[in-house]
Order: sequence, then structure tokens, then C-alpha cells
Amino acid sequence: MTTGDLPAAAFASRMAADGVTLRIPPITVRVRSDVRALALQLHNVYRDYALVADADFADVDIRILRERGLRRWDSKQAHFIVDGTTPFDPFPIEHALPTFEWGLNWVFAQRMNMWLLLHAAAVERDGKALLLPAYPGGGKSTLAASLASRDWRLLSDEFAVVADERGTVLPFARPPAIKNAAIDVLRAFAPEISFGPVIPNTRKGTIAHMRVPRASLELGDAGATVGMIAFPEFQAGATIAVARIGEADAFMRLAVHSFNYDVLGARAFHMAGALVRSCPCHVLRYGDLSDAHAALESLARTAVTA
Amino acid sequence: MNHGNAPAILIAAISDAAGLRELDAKAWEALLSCARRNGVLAYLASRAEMRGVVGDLPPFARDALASARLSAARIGQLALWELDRVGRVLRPAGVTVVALKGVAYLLRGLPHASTRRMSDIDVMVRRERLPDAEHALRTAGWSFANADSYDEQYYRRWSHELPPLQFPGRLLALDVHHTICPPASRLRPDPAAMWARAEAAGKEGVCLLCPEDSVLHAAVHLFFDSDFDSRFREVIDLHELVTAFANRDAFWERLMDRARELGLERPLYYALRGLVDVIATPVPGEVLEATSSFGPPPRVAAWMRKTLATVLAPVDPEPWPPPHAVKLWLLYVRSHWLRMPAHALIPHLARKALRRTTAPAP
Repeated sequence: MTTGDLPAAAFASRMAADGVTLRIPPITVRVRSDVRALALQLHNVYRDYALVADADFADVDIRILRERGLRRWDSKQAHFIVDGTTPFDPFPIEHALPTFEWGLNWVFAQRMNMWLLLHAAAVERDGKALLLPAYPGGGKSTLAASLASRDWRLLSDEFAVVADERGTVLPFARPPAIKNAAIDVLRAFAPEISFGPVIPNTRKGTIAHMRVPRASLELGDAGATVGMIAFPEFQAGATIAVARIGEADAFMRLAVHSFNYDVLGARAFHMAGALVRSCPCHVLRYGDLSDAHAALESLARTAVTA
Repeated sequence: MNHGNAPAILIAAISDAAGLRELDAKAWEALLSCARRNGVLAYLASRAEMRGVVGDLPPFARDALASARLSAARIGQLALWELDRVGRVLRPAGVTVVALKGVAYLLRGLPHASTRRMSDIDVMVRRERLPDAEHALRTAGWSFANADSYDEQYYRRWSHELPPLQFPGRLLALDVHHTICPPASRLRPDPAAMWARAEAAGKEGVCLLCPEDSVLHAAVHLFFDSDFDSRFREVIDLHELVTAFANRDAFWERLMDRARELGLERPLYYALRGLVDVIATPVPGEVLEATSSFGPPPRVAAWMRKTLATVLAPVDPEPWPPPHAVKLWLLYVRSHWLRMPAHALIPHLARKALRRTTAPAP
């Protein structure tokens, strides 16, 4: 059963009571919240995710609860609660969805040291993964979302989850958070994409979350092998420029773009080393999504024939 | 989601990790959450390793334990490195430090040392060398983190340390103390006496408190620190220290003598009873007997013992909002009372409360 199999109202009341447990491969996440608007938004953007019935174990348990007590009168705020702690300041309830998403990312990055976590988007086609590691603003979420609207499977818009030294990447697909001007760009590029609400004034500006396409979820927990790495550098108005980079350069970039390279130590060194040796690495400067797609298609063809 | 009594499961698992084999998935989730809440998941992992049960655990549990272990080990590595950086700056200035708490446990090679969550490292310098240490560290690039002038005044006047120092871009802050208790509290252990018994740490310019003093320091921390939220981690520190030192020659007698010498009978009294009540540390009966005269009048003692057992036990992460706020508040006030005279305390608390309610939203 998926989220969408439940009527929105039933989903929301379940979330307010015992909580809703979603399989978000590769982990299980329980969410409890009395913020009804959040429940309805999650029902929309997580529509095609599997619901886990009677979940005995969740890797992550998150509660988003309205503020109670003395301060209730002066604000419409909510808390993000994990393991009985509130790692973030209270936030306006209108920001519940982006806070849930950021918070889940934060918890994932803190806890999942069995994997090398790269700050990268990742997409897959025919069992081969394309990693897109970038700094914030590098355009990785938008690019990954646009690729997922074509014939690529979205693995993640935020984490490349590298599971072993053979370059296996696991999915951690979540609704890509599209920011500011990119929202309209993506709408124009792929009108069929379904978005959650447009949320202004967050700490990253205006945000809209793209519903993950059903096709990206059909393979469930299955991973893919890294076949190509491209470091996107979005620049408004830039013409497309693709430059191959050497193994050492690519290695250093991967280490910089890792959440837990220092925690994994030698293991991360060997994993990142194996990645850059196993596939071609490029820097992809782009200003236009169609150009970026064409460049990636051309790289993918070369990678296959090479 | 919590099923059953997570704090009790946690304590049982720490006492004998063999019991981990019997847990079902629901109990595991409650246990992992509770261990995270109390900052002892990596410690729990080390207990499971030492007991040799890790191979028998379900994969999700193994992953969670191993993951926490890696994070904590990295923090330990950073802490020793930070101490090394501090030494490089203070040694040329002729300032010797005593490593305290987390870094000291690492230098001593205590088994739980690399499982501790740390946000800073603590060192003690001789009071008369404090200005030199401060000057050398600030010249080398450390600065006072997040301290407005009120905070700085507070630290300098009432606390036993400089405001936390931070080197730009580094994870761990640096706390420089000149004694182990706040100068304005009624507890006045003589730092010179602690320096006199300090031991070499195998690193030039760095010493360690002697075993008895490190236990007494941990005991002071347990009860006279202002943060009464999640004291359980400090209980584990004390438990591990006492366990590591207990079989040394005449350890308990030396500990009690030292508590008298330094005027730390009361913290030791509470600490030993806390250990027995919360985690069943095998403190010899004759030691409890011999320290009973260190306590407060019987009626106060009974109330404090009951209250402390609650405050020192692992916090249950499930209920929201968390209970016990009033009790914690009372103890918070109490700990501050020991630290400052009342005429200074009341305006300080008022100021802190005001600041909390006017903190800006993100």
C-alpha cells in the first residue's frame, strides 16, 4: 500500500495519532505530526511511497508538533523532535515541510556512517548511476529533478549513498527542493511535474518540492553502479561547457563534497579513490537545462562505448 | 516510538550486553533512541563489542551501533589533535596544562573514552598563568565564541574558566579552567594540591589529575554543573573511572582521604550513592558506610537522594514535552546558588530567562 492509497484525511489523522511509517529506501521513517497542513503536503509529495503497516522498527522517528505551553499565545510555531530532543529552533508552521526535509537530511547525515555520503544528486539509467556532486546553488537538485522527469530514475537530489568499494549507490529519493527562479524554469521545462505548495521566506528563499515520479520508486531499494560523475556548476546565462577532469582533481572534489569522509577515514579514502578510477569525471557548467541534458547524453554515449 | 521502559532496557544492556540478543525490533528502536538521547549509543556499542554479542544482533542494530562508534571515534581523534594544537601554543609560552575530562580519559586510555560525545576539550592552567595562556591562545588565533560582554563578565567573575575559546573552522571549542569548582561556590578545593599530585601524561607540557582527583572532579561535575539535562552520560564517566581505578592499591581509602583534604566530601557522598542507585556500580558497602558522615542532615539526604536518582537516570525520549521540568529547574537554581551569592544570582537568572523568551526565530 502506498501513501496515495489512503485518502488524505485518513493519512492526516493517522499521522496525528500513532504516526505514519514510510519506506524511503534505504531507510524506514516514522512521522508523527499534529500539523494537518504538513500531513496533507506529505500525502501529496510522498504519494507513491510504500506505507509500512504495523512497523516494528523505524530507522528514524520524527515528530513535528505545535508549540505548547506558555508561548503558544505569541506564535504559530512548531518543533522538530527526534530522540526526545529539538536540534533546531522552533519554526513557523508554514515551514513545516521544508523543515521536515532538512531535518531528515540532517538526521541521515548524522547517523548513516555505514555508507559514504556524498553531497550530490544521483540519477540512474539502465543500472548505471550518474552522480552530480555540487555546492549549494550548483544546480544539482534542479538538474536531477529535470532528469527524473525524462527517462532517468531519481536516486536522490541531496545524497549519493555509496555503499561499497565497488561503487554501488543506493537510492535515497526524496522530493527535490526546488528553489526560487528554478521553480518556474523547471515548470516550463517539464509541465507534467507535480509540485507541493510554493513556500516563501524560508532560510533558502522560496521553495517548492517536486513529487517524486512513480517510475523512480518502482525499483524500491535496488542500487546502481556508478557509471559517470559530473560536477554541475549552474551559472545564469552561461553557455554549456564540459571539461574532463583528472582522477586526483575529481577525488579532492568528492572528498570536499562528502558529509562523513572524515568519520569513515581510510575506508572513505579507498571508496572515493575507487569511484574516480572507475568512471569518467567532468565539470559541467550550464545555464540551460536542455543544453545540460544534451551534454550528459553525449557523455553517457561516450562512456558506454569507451 | 517507545515500547516498554527504554531507560531500564538501556541500563540492563549496559550492565550486561548479552541481553541485547533477546531484544525484539520494537525494543531495539526504543533502546537506540534512548541511547542517542542520552549520548551513550557509542558506549553501548563498545559494551556489545566487549561482550562479543555484535555478531548475534540484527543488521539494523549492528549498523546503528557501528555508525555511532565511528562518529564518536572521530570526535576522540579530533579532541586529541586539538589538545596537541593547544600544547604547541602553550609550551613555548611556558604554560603547562592539566588535561581534564574527555581528553584526559583518552590520554589515560580508558575504554569508554573514545565513545564520548564532545563539543569541547577542557584544560586547567595555574591561575597565575591564566593571562599568559589567554594571550598566547588569542595570539595564535583562538577567540571567544558567542560571548557578548555580559557573558564574558559572568564567566570571568563567577565561573571557573575563561569564556569558551574557539579556533575558526574547528569543531571543538576549548575551555580553559584554573580550578575545578566555581570560585564563588562553597567548594574550594585547592588547585595547588591538585597540581602537586598531577601525573605525567606522556606528552610534554600536559599532565593528568591523579586518579582520586579525576574521580572527585567528575563527581563535582555530576552535581554542581548547571546543565542538569541528561546527566546520565556523566554517570557513565564516573562509573568507568571508578571501575578502572577500583582495583588499585587502597583506592577507596585514598579517595575518601582526598575528598577530606580537598573539602569535596559532599560531592563524593552524592556521587557514590548516585552510582549505586542508577547503574549499580559495585561500591563496597564499607565505603558507603564510611562516607555516610559526608552527607547532609538525614531529611535533606533522603530528598536529595531520591531527586538525584531521577535526574541522573537516563532520560526517556518518548514523552513530549519532557516531564520533570520543575525538578530540573530547582536543581538548576540550586547549582547556581552554590556558584553565586543570591544578590548576584537573581538578576542573572532573570536576565537569562528574559533572553530565552526573546530569542529570535530562525
